This record gives sequence, structure tokens and C-alpha cells, in this order.
Amino acid sequence: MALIAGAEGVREALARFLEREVGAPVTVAACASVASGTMREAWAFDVVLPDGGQEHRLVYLEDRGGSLLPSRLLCDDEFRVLRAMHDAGLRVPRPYWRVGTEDPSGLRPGLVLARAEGETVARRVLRDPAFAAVRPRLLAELGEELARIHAAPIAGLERLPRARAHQPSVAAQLDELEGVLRAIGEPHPTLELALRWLRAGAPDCARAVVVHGDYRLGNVVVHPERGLAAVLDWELAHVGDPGEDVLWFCIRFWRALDAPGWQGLGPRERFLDTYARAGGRRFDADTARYWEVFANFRWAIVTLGQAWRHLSGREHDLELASIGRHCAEVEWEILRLLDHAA
Amino acid sequence: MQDRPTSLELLRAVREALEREVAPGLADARLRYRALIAANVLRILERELPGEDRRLTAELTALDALLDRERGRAPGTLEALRQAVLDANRALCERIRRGDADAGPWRERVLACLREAVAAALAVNNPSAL
Repeated sequence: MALIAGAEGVREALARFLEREVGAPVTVAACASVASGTMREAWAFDVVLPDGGQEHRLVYLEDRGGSLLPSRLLCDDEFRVLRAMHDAGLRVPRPYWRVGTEDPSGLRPGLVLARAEGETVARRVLRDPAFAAVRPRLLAELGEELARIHAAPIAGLERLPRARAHQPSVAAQLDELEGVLRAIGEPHPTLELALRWLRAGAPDCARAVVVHGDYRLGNVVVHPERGLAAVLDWELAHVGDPGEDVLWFCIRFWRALDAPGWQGLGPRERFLDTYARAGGRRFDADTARYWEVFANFRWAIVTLGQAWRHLSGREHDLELASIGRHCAEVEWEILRLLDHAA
Repeated sequence: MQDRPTSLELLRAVREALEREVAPGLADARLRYRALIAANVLRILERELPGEDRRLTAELTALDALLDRERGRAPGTLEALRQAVLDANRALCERIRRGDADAGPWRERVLACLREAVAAALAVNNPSAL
């Protein structure tokens, strides 16, 4: 099968894929590349399926083969998580199909999902007047939705990565992150300090939950009238401590929360409070600091890993390369947090 | 001696062209975004090149003091200076991994030294985050 290229090539391959899935000819209209992360290419398209003539607004997420972390889910498992979350009534895009490896349509492996209407670029959600009406309530919605995710049933998701028996839930992840740091092999004394501190202080996990793994403003769809519309990008989902997601959302790097000299969606306390009132856990200051250091450490390792995708020669890419220079900002925050820690 | 424009002046010219002409003229939002990433990378280099040797020397001096190292003569080339800072940072990482900085006065000295080094890196990469 020849490699497909460009929007027209993807459109034709999608038509071939869908015809086989639904067993009848389909017409794919308006296929266009849309903004996505560094992990995959996103193609928005509309299609009329032979199920009553209704138009389906879909997106095909095409794997670029990269990986934020080694434990990243394969398409099949991400699809299962999406299905479970969708069935649980959570705000996720309805999953339609998964595209396997070497699909006869010529498509690369990926997912076909419903396309949630709205904005994913955090900067626009924070600043664009179009979102002024929903901004005041958005932080509370994000806190509540995260509590609902953490209340979702784990049953049926046995294949998700999880902690080893008789170990703190975070130990396996610290091993993974340290593995990335060692593989890259460059000296980062601040990250070594953080790693020692995290290993020594791992809190007991009161209740293991489905952790989204990358819950932040840039990974949700916000509609200008309806507010929080969908939570995207479940490829780092795993079973773990809810503190991971809660404080990951809070790290300074995303600029989602108010900070000295910065206006975000609101104060951190509002996010933590709505999360707790919606059934989530309330974190004491020490536990919150632990997960905040962990989140920054994890993000620092991801920035190094992204730059390494470029430096190793596997994927020459300007954006990946530039991410390497974000690490210092995250290290700066880690030093601030460690300075205040016991 | 190279003719003018200097490397710094050339970097600035390219960055300004990307910001003012190339990016605004691009209809494709993805390409526009990438042009702005490129401009930002050039801005980092504009901050990095002036005084790079001075910053590396300061970092090396601080690391040598922290690691109780005597250095007879400072590295003579920028390349040797970079390598010396890299080696000293590796030695510091080794000691942190051994637990030497888990607690006590040396931990405080390590934290102070790293604050200096990371602040210097951040002043180049993204001074607005300091």
C-alpha cells in the first residue's frame, strides 16, 4: 500500500476505511488538518453514514509514532479507556473506530472519534473575548469533571499500567522517569535532587483511581457557550493516585491558575475545593506539595524526552527541539518547591 | 574578524523577518505557529551568545567550590569550558545520587548553587518566567 499524503490522500483513505467498517459506500467531506500536539496529526472530517443520513463530525487522530513516555498506551488501550469513560457519562469524545497497523485503507494507526466543538488552545481560552462568558465557571467545571473521572469504575480496564504490588503507587513511575533521564544521559542536578526527595517521601495511595495522566487546560475542549465540552488525550492514562492529576493541572508551567503577576482562570483553592466538593480528595499542604514536585519532575523529564526525539535523530523537528529549552523553567519551579519543603 | 553584520545582528535580522513578514503572511495556522517557534528560538540565541563564556566561567567556579575542587588553570577555549561545566555537573549528580545532599548544610549550598545556575539558564531561555 502506497503511503498516503496530504488532506486529499487522507480523505480518500478514510473513505476506504469507513466503507469497510460500515459495509456500504460513504462520502467523506471537508477533510482538513487541525491543530494537535506533537504526538499525532489530527484530521477533521465530516461524513454521512448509511445509518439515517445524519452527518457525523469526526476527527481522525493519526499516530506520528512518538511517545511522551514509554508507558504511553497503544491505540487499542486508549480506545478502551475512551469507551469506558464515555459509557460512564464523562465528557470525552465518543469513540467510533480504531485503525490498526497496516490497515488496507493505507491509513496509519490511530483513532476515529467524535469531534468536540470548541477551543483547545489554552491561551485563547484564557484571553479571547469569545470565552468571557464561560471563563468564570470553567475552573469549577474542570475540578468537578476531574472528580468524576476519578470516580469512574476501574473494572474492565485491567490492561492499564498500574503500581506493582507492595509498593507506593508512584514507585513504578519514578522508575520509568529515571529510566528516561538515564537514557538521555545529560547531567541535571536539580532533577536528581527532586528524584531523591520524591523517592524518600512517597505517600500511601488512599484509593487508586483511573488517572488521566495529562489533565490540563491544553487538553480539554472549551465551548464558548457550553463551557467544558470534552477531555482529550487519554494516551497517558493509568491507575494511580488522584493527586497526580490534581496537581499536574496546577503546575505553574500551564499558566492555568492565578499566580503572582499572572491572571489565570482563578485561584488554585477554587480548583482544589470544587474537586473535593464533587467527591474528590482533599489534600493537606504536604501531600499537595509532594504531588506538585512530582508533576513538575515528570513534566521536566517529558521536555527532555521530547527534545531527545529530535536530538537522537529519529524525528528532526523544530518544535521538539525547542521544548528542550523549557526544562530550566520547570527546574526553577522545582527548586522553589524544594526550598519550602521539609 | 568577520565583516558586519555580526552573528548577533544577523540573528536579529532573521528573527525580525520571521516575526514581521513571514509569520503574518502565512495563511496556514500551523505554519504560522512554527514560524513563531523559530523566531523564539532565535531570540533565545540572541540572549545566549553575548556573555556565554562569562556565564560558563561563573558556573564552573561555583561548581568547583561546591565540589571542593582546585583548578589550576581555567579552560582556554569555549569548547573546553563547556566540557568542564558538563563534567562538574556530572560529578555533582553523582554526589546527589549517593545521598550527600539529602540533608544538612551541604544540601543548602547545593540548592543555592543550583538556583544560580538555573536562574542563569532561564534568563536566556525565558526571562519572563523568572
